[in-house]
Amino acid sequence: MRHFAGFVVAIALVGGFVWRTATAPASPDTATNNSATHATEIPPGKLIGPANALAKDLKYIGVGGCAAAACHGGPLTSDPSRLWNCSYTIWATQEPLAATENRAIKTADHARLIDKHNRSYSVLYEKRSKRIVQLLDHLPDIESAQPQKDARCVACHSVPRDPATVPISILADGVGCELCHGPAKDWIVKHTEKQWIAAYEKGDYKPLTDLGMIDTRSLLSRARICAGCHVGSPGDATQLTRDVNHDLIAAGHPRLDFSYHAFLGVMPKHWSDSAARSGPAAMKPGFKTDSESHAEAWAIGQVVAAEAALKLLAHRAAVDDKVSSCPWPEFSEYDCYACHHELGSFPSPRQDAAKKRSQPLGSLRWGSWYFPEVQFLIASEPFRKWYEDFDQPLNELKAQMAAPIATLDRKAIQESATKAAAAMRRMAGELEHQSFDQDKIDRLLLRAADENFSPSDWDEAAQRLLTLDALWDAHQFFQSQRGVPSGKDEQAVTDALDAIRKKLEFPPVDTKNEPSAEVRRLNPHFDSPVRFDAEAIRTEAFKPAFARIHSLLAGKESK
Amino acid sequence: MTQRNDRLKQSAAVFVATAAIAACLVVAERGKSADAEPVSECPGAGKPESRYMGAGSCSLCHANGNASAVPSELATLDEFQAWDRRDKHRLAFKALTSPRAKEMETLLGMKPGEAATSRQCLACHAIDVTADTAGPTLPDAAAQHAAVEQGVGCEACHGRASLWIDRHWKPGEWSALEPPLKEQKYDQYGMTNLRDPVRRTELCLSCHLGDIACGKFVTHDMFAAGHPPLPAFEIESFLEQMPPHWRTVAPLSRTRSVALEGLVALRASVRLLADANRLPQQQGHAGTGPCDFAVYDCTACHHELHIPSARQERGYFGGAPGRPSLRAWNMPLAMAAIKPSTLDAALARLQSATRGRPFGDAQALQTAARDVVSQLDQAIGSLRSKPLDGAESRRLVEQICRLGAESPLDYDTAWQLTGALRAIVADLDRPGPGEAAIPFDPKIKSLIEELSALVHFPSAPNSPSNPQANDRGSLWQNGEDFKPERFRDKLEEIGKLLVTP
Repeated sequence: MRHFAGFVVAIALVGGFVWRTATAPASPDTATNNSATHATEIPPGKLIGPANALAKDLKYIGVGGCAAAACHGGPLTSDPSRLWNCSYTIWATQEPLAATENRAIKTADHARLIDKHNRSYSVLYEKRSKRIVQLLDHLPDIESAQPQKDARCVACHSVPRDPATVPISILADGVGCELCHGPAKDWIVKHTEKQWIAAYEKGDYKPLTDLGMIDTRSLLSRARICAGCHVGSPGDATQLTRDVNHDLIAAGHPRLDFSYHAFLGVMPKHWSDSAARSGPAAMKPGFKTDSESHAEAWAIGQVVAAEAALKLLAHRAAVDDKVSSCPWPEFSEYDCYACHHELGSFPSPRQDAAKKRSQPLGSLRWGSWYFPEVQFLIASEPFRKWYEDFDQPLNELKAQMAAPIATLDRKAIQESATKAAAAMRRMAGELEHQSFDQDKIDRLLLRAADENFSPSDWDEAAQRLLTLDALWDAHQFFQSQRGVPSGKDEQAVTDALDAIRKKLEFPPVDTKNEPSAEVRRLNPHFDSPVRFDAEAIRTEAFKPAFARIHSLLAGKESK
Repeated sequence: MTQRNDRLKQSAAVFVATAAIAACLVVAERGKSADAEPVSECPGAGKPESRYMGAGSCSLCHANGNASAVPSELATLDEFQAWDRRDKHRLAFKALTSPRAKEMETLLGMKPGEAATSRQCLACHAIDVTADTAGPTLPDAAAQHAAVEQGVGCEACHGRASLWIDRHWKPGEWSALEPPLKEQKYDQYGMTNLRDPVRRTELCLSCHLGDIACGKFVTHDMFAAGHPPLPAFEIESFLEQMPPHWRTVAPLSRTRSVALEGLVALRASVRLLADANRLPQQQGHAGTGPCDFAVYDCTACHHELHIPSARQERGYFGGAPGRPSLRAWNMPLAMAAIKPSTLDAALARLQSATRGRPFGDAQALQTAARDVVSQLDQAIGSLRSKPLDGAESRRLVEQICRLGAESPLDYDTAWQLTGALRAIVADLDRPGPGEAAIPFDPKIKSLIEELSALVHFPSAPNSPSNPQANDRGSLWQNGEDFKPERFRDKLEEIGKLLVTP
């Protein structure tokens, strides 16, 4: 269970590092015993990494500005109407808060929820981060590696600005309040004043967003913020490029596999998620709580992740690799396990796939994580109207990315990716106003439980499981709203989904003969689906779950 | 070539209709260098006018069947039997009709049975009947089929025989001549001089590594369709495995062969890399063209991912993490006997041309490769004429152990070093006529046996009951399980024993 949870949970964190349990967010230098000097630690002027965001007009003030006890740093409370008062405290606290309502995390023995965004900067002081930079830059020793000053790392692990221009006091916050809510210098005072409160309590956020606050009430706006790091983004005049490319992954950074619905489930909520809540969040017409919107979060997450991935691809294809060290072809665009697999079997499942013409022989499979479920979504009613808009550019792009490496047409790829991203953006805009009622959810669930579903790789299987998870959560929520008790049949579906998860877990490494106690302590495991057998997964895991779902929902319909 | 193009075009249509969108910068850039420079020449091309005769013609004398043919020190006249009954080369063609070959045909979009007639396969699995410029070489289709069916027969290595078959056995005209005159005959009639260690190693490598100029190249598509991996190569171990159908008469000839093979193999690898990068892109699939994955190290990509990762702990030897790396160059063996002073710099330029970005910088790569090849030509030339004795052989062992221990040992390199050490030690145990044996310390011999166990070195030559374990699965697994530290420790131990006898 743990290893698969590792994929949903650990990667939910920026970087998914192994955390030191007692590293306080405000003193990242404890790792280097250098806390006394940290304020002056970064030499000015030197930018390590891509220089496209020089912060002359830095508007970040740091979490300290939000953390007053009377503001957002009050004592922890379970009173939904007072949650706003401890939102900083929840973000900053080291203690587990509560179990999530999300299944993905419940089944993992990770019910301890900690917002790891607060440690995202201090993790850069750890050995593993240093090793990544050492390998990337061919440094002679690990101590010369300085990920904490490296724009490639800081772009996601703290403020997406040239780290040389940002005070360490702000960098050290990691992914603090302003990374999602917007740089606060111009609105921190105003948002506490009466006339401003009156405006946003009426649902009018414009005066504040004009000053740089980000409206995080909608699932869509939140998803876009998450995707900026958890998928990546090209950057612009004010923000650094955020790109976990294959070089970084090979050097030791975990791959990114963003799943909005699952990630929301493992982040302790510092916002009110209850019908009883009061205050600004309640003001937006049609606003739904997270527990009311599992399916919406899943759908929006799929589309937003796809849009972000396409924009990043367009950026990667456009970068001149003679000028920049940005590698091309960019292998992280492709299925990890298209190459990272054993060579032991003949005939192999990959050769079977080639025979079925589903994947060209010996080629890399593009977009295995971000696109299968978007294609599933737009093939379903009522979303079919987007089909024409998106399916064609996406298939064009698939073919372009599957061309032999030497003939990859970067310009055409850039154009197709831009076009497809625009289609995704339109779709996301419309999705924001879509509401999923029980009927819609059940129909989607039945479609997702299509017995012809045959995953061509691990990514596709894992994505389908995440879809089933989200829709199942949504289904169960509506059932409980209607007061329908959850019985044996419901439990059977839950168990069947867990069985799929179990099948998709990466196996542990056999350490029976491992001489080193240190290695055994690290609990080594595979980070790839060793000898992934799509057919076995289909028949032994998905098929039984699909049967359960069909019999349950068919039973409901006949009643 | 046409045949191959057609086939690949066909499969291209099936798989990737859009491969036609090929006007990208990389290709334009690579295309430029392709015009400027032809692919290297095929060293064993032979005389254009010479023709295949088929192994049957050789068996008239070399199968002990001809009462009038007289065995000699060089030719025992039972060569045909040794090859026919024990040598896997004899079975090479049969592989083209195996179930695996049929699977490969389907996957590669070939017609059923096409493997057995396609030049791309026959070039290594039999004699290349289409290579002749003088028309059909054998009297009729039946004879041609018979010759092909024999797999890698006599003429695949010794050269097309029509011009020399009636001459090479005549003492006055050929076989009893002194070396320079005899070598002239080889050149004149297109027989391959396999007693020349450089020529011999080059010839074996043309299939066992690849030689694009000779039409011998296992592309990534072919591997992906199921072609077994090409295992680590060490000339003397491979010859031992065949088993030999010849006698070695010159003293220390195996040691000389080992001393030269590293440089020859390095040159062949660099040529292959440069030639592969000049190949025009064939439509379809991932491979065949610049960036064909087959010139890169299979295990650079094809490995399971681990946490913690041994690769990240080990480092990338100055290369970028996450980029395809070239197949291991047998550096320790290549540098053991002679080391040109400027070679390091040239190799570093070549490495940076291939590592600067994924799949390298095409133009810088060609320039650097040319430089490396010309330096290796010189080094091979001077090493050929360098005298070799027992003391020099021991120094060679010492160097192999030292350089091996200092190198990032991968499985293939370790296998090769083991083979090389075994060959030299065996050579010194069996001195030439009139020379005393200079046997190694038994401790060293037992350490070499331990090295052999670590790399799963085959214990006996091929025989029908002991086919060499070159199964795809076990080769990959051997590499995955290989522990460089243990191997390195043993090399260092041998090194110490040599310095203080």
